[in-house]
Amino acid sequence: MRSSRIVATTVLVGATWISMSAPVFGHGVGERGDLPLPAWQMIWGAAFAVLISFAAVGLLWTAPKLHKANQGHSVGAWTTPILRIGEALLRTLGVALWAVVLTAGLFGVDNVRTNIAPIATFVVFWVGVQVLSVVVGDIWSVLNPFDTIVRVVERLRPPRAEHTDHAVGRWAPVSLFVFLWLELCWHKGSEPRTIGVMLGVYSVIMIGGGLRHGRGWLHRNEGFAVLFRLLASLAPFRRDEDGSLGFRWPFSGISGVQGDSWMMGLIIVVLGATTFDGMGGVQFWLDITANRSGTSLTVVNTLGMLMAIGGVGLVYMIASELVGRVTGHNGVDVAERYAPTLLPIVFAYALAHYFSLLVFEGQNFLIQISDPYGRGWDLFGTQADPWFGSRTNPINYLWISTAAIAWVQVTSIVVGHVAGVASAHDRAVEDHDADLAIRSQYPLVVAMVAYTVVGLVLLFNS
Amino acid sequence: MYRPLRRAIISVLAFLMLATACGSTASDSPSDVAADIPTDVPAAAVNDEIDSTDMDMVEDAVHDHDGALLEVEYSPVPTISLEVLKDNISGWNVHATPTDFILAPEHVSTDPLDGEGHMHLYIDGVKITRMYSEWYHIADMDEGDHEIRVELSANNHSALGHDGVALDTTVTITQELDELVDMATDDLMDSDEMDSTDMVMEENADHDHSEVTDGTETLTGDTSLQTYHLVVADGEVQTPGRIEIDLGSVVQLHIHSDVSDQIHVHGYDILRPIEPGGEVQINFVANLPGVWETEMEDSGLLLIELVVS
Repeated sequence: MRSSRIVATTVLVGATWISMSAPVFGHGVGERGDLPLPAWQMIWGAAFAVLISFAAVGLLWTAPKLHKANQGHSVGAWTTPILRIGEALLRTLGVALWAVVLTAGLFGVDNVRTNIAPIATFVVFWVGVQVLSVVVGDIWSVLNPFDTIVRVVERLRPPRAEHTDHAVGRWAPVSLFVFLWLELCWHKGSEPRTIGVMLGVYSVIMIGGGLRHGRGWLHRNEGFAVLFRLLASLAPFRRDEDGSLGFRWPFSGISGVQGDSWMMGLIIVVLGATTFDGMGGVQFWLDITANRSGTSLTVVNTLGMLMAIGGVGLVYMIASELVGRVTGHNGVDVAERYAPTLLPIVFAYALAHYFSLLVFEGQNFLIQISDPYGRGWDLFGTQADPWFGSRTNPINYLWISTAAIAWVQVTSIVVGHVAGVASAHDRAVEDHDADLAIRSQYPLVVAMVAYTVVGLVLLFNS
Repeated sequence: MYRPLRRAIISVLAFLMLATACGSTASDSPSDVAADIPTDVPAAAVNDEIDSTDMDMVEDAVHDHDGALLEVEYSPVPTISLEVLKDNISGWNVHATPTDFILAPEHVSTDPLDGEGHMHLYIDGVKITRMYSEWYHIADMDEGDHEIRVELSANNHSALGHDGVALDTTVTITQELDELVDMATDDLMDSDEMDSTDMVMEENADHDHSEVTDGTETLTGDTSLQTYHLVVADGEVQTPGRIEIDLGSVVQLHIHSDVSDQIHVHGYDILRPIEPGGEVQINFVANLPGVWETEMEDSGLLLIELVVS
């Protein structure tokens, strides 16, 4: 069974590689890059982050607080039926969009700009669902088409035993790494056919795995489900066990997340890949990639992304090892324990790098939804009459000013940093008495400051 | 689900995808690509692809382009006349006079109304700007003939036509070499003198023309001209990088290439074919802030990044 899957995957990837010959974009989706962050904004942002971090470690609470904040309040049982209806609608929508993107990728016009698959995948799905998860909660748990399909099949036949182990599975970081490699490294990664085939392969693996091992397996191994669920722990809303709506302090949900090794791997992969994407605009990287295209560009990009992920991971492991020396724990255990506190920084990086992409290319999605296959349709009238732009200039690039974008970037990085430091502090005072907690925190704070300053410098140099 | 059944389903799915992947080579044939063009690029960009010396072709392309012309169904039908005058200091003054047509910038990007709208200015098939008044100043260009075309446009930016004929007018001007002496760029414009291994950049940001504020959509009040030369030799740009462009200035890109490809200025959606040994000149007003790539569309080679701010 497994070997046949691997063979099928290999054959498909190979066949795709060979059959691609259409004109391509040498980079991911999106045409516009952000302007470099003004120097004063970078310096003030970094200074604020450094100052508040070290002040926070000493001045913040000495007994854990976030657990209580995470309890929050239930809005009431009357929200349950409303959320049930919403869930049914979103599950239908999720499967419908998945079917459209899959068929558009496989059969639609082979054009990055007019086929819906690239922007639906890399902008609306990847960036949009991250933002939605942090704002409204774990929306992917009901949008997820694989989960819905497996659920429907399980209704028709008895499900296999549910796994009780809640640790993140190894397929989760692997699937996200492959996805990010496609987006950021492979020179053909943003082509509709690539997306169609890869989404098809991923769907087969996920639906097959879900049917074989149950929805619990999907829950732990579907990389996007894991990441979006983790990010949803930052959200002020959640769904309680009785299915009703609850609310809590933003970011407080991190206190309920237990770290484990594959979760740590997943977080470092995403953080490193976003860092690598930020490097793409820096002059030294432009010099390296200059005049490269095709496979040679892919190889250089792959090495760059591996180095960025390695760098991010190394900084984190060293910091954890130093924390472990102070508290007398194994460094790897510390690293796993504190991995969820990096989540605010993961989201801050994503928002800083992709906010403008979402705002501008998201407009394109609204246009493409009228003609997902590039056949000249206009189902909802948004082709002839775009919501934000005009027929001749479909994307309104002046909709949000460059100053507003810069403020979103610097604010998200600083706020994400503060939330990361605060939740790590909360975890430390949960584990140790206040004195030891404070002494043990400095290496991790230094690591977070390093991520934040690097993030700001990349935005400044972009 | 039983093992054989599941295996069968996976095999069918795999086969379907394999078939699709192989099938995609067939849909990559040139005819398909050509058929895609009208849906890929807006009307202005279609003009760009036509050789600028053959105005008949440009006209045809405009007329053929579905939806490019908005038929005037009211009377009197507007008309337009155009004169392009050499400026005493530098550049050219475009004077377009519509009759039976009110320039209504206050209604731009709304629904069309009878007898009103604005105008679009094209140089060599490249859309330069909207015109909200009769006068507009353009900078000096390369030595040789250039087609200046102004079309009447409805409020919704559809080009106006009557009986299928565009309501536009074209004037050909000849830029003499000696008119370029006050441009810092002229001595480098001869391609023979250019070091083929280098991208030569020059910039005359000081070419401000404060008199050109007459109701055009120029954002800064001053129009500055920024000219850059790019050379592609053996399929490589020797010093790719970024150029800083002031928001609202007129940008001229002169691109020489020894390979055949298409030049794509992202964001501004300008797509121009280039032939081996040929030079392409691209003019546009840099009115979209951000970082925009200019690349060889087919090979994906990055030519330059334009930092517009």
